[in-house]
Amino acid sequence: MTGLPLLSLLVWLPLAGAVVLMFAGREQKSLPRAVATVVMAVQVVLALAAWAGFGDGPGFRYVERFEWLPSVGVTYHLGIDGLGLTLVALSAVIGLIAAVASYGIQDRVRDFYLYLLLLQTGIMGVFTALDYILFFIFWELMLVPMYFLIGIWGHDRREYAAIKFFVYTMVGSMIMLVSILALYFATGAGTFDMLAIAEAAPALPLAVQRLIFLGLFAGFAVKVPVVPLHTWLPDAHVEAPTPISVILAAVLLKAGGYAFFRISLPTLPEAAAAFGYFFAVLGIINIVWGALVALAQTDFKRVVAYSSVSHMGFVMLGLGAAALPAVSGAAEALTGAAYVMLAHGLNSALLFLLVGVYYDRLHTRDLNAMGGLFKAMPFAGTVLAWAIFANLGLPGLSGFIGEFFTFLGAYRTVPGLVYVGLVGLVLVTAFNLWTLHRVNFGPPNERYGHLSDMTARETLTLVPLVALTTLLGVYPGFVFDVLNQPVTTLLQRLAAGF
Amino acid sequence: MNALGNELLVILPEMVLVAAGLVALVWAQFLKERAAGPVAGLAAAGAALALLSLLLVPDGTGPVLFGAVKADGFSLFVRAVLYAGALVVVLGGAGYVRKFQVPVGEFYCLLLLAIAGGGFMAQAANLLTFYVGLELLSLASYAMAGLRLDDPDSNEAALKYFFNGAVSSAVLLFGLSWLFGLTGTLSLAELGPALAASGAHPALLVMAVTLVIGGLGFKMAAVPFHLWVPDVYQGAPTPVTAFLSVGSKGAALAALLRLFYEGMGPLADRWTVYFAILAAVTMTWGNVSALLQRNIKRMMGYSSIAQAGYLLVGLAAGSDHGVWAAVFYLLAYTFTNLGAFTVIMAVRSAGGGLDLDSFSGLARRSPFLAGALLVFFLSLIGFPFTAGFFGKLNLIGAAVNSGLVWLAVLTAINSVISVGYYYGVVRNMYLREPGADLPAVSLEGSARLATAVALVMTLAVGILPQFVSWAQAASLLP
Repeated sequence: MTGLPLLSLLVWLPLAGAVVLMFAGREQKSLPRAVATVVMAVQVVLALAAWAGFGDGPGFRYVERFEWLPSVGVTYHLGIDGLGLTLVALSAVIGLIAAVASYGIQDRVRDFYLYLLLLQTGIMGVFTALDYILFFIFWELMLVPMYFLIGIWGHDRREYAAIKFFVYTMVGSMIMLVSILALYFATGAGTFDMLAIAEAAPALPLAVQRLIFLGLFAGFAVKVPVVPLHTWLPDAHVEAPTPISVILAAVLLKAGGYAFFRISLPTLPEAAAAFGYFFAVLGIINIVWGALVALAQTDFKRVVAYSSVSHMGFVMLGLGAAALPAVSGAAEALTGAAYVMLAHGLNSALLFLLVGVYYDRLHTRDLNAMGGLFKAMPFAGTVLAWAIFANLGLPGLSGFIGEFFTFLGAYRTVPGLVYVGLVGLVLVTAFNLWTLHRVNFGPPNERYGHLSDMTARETLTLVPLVALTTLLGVYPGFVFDVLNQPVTTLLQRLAAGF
Repeated sequence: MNALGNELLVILPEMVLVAAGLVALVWAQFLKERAAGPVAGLAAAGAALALLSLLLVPDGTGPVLFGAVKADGFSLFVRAVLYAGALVVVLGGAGYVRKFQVPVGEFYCLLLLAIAGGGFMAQAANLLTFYVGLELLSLASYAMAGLRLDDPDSNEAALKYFFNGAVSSAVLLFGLSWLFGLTGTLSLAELGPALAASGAHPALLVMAVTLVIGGLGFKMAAVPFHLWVPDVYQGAPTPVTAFLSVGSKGAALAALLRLFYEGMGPLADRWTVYFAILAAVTMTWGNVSALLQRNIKRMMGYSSIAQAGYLLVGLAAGSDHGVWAAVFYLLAYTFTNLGAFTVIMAVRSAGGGLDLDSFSGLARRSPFLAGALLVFFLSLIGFPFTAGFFGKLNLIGAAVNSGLVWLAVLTAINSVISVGYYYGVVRNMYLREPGADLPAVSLEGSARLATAVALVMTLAVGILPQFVSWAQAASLLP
């Protein structure tokens, strides 16, 4: 694949698809579906090619770099390391599944796919950009299409959810923008290149580093989301149409964690160490709070949404523990955090798709109105059980590996918090199992009459996810191989900061 | 004679504008009812020719024509922006002028004269040129605001604008006379050194600066000199509103930059604080007030007040970086705002109202217009992939670079506040169904061209690097 600008293709192909759709007829239905599906499928192929040709050794791959605004030091700089690779691959797979899962959309189909493709460009850009301005552009680009996707095709409270999502993220990203500029001028490097700034920034006075770190934190934490900045998430996830909930949970939330990994920790290691404990505490709060609130929900989709809040806590815990000075355990914590991002991407996609499957048949998401559905829909019920077990962290499925390594690594530095986290894990298990129980078991609710099991298209979207989540559970080695390199690099940077 | 000829080349674009304006006035009287199309074409040609003739202006010419004007990178850049803006106003407003029977000759003549006045302000090398340019711009603007003769709102707008404007011009002139009194010179180049050498009491300088800021703040629509804006913007014919929002504001910004940064650069630490406060108050007041509006022209009026606040950030920074950031933002803002007004005019000319509900379901009625307005609003907010993003990025950067972190943060926060009111329109366009009585909106040829030009520029300025280099070359001091 040498010579091909692989990352540029990944980023710009969806945009090209969107431009094509712009000229399609407004009432077209099959053409937009076909274009989007082909684009997303090509993305998966490109991501696989990137994975296949990745190789060993440190540094960024598939780098493309040229001057864009030389007078202010803005470059067009793309590149991925192992973490970027896993998230790009995840985004490509989820993108394809979302495109197929959206075949059910009947209203303004062309516009829907246009926004979906634009969103994909933003997502790919965030995970590959190595220039702050480029990164910020893609970061914001994710916002507008998502606003329309929720606002036009969402459920009853869509307008409220869409603007809430928009405003929360926008406030965060504006503070982030000022921090980026502060970083640019304080380092005096004359460039917005992430890697160059990462070389210069650790020399800044600690007080400045801390301020900038907090400013960046405001932008990233909203995206993660960190409790108490999470309240946009349940609204947006619940009101969004199924495929969009899938992308939100599986991919967009990862942008926050990725940004901590790519920007905050390596660029400002000293400040990261100072805030490491704070991160870990926030992570534990996320785990416990998310699980507790999920237990109290009666809306199926809200349960899954709060489950996301809970799982993102593991990412924060892992990052915080790794940022603290420690004799050992940092590598496990970081790898665990990165693994949780990947695993949660697959699990949450599975669960949101399943919520959609049930909602399409029952026209309700109320868990109390369900029950005994296994009898009518055994196949869906089985997949649901599989997803729930993966989500609660059953060994052998993907959820377990990341959570286990995060706790294992964090135990060396913040053992007290890990004990609290373990209590949270019990709660996680509880709400997962209780949800499974309320959907599948108990006396069947008579009012639904005959229910058909999953259609071929639904099966097509769910089975690859089931396969992947199982693969990640039984053979995590192939992911560890690519994560090993960015984790090692980051740890060296962090160690240099102590 | 030959030397004078060369010197006259510097003001060739303005001569073209004035000539085109006068011909338009006379020609329209002969054509009578058939005037709208041909005269609009003439005005567009005049503006385009003025823009092209900037290429003939010898760059880097010092004060010429008896020290009245100079042709440096700054004046060329600002004039280019102003004349291109005038072109878009003419193209975008032609349909409106015909539909609402605005007197054709008068409108195009006054518009071209006003923009020529703005051009003189941008190239002034001397306080007198600068004031005469301002008066040319102002007097033409007052008359234009009242051009819908049978519309009481338009008459009210003209009257309010005139009375307020006359007072502010007097205040400005008074301030300029103080500067003259303190230094004994009218030349901008000599002003700074003379002020530094004069040893005048600081209070006197504060007095002069306050009067000048008051006078020009009125033109720029900075808070607290903005009270005329909502009524005038709402009442004036929409093409005039579009012109006021960019032409007057741009010329006033150029004048402020010339007078303060070029003329009083050495004393920057004494006046930047005023502009920092002015910028902060203006953007915040404008944005918060815009949230409360139900009429789109009033909303755009308050929005343009907020935009004036952003522009002033560049002056508050008091650095080369601030200067080019401000003129770059002016470039971005001009095309963006004119594009937005062109769409609003199209909706109005199609028979829609001016309240926000007139935009309901526009995405279904005319997707191109809705999409264009969306891009313009995103650019006004400062969203990536648009000109407004790099404009704000540079301004915020200039503020951070000059140590005004609080102002940078406030600018960023204001961007978020502004989402609130632009959002109201976008929501109506995209998330609401069109009402049964709302017409489909079609664009006629010239308005389509104007929208396309504004759209292309709004995107190109945000993506292509050349524009930044041009703006940087326009910094006043080498």
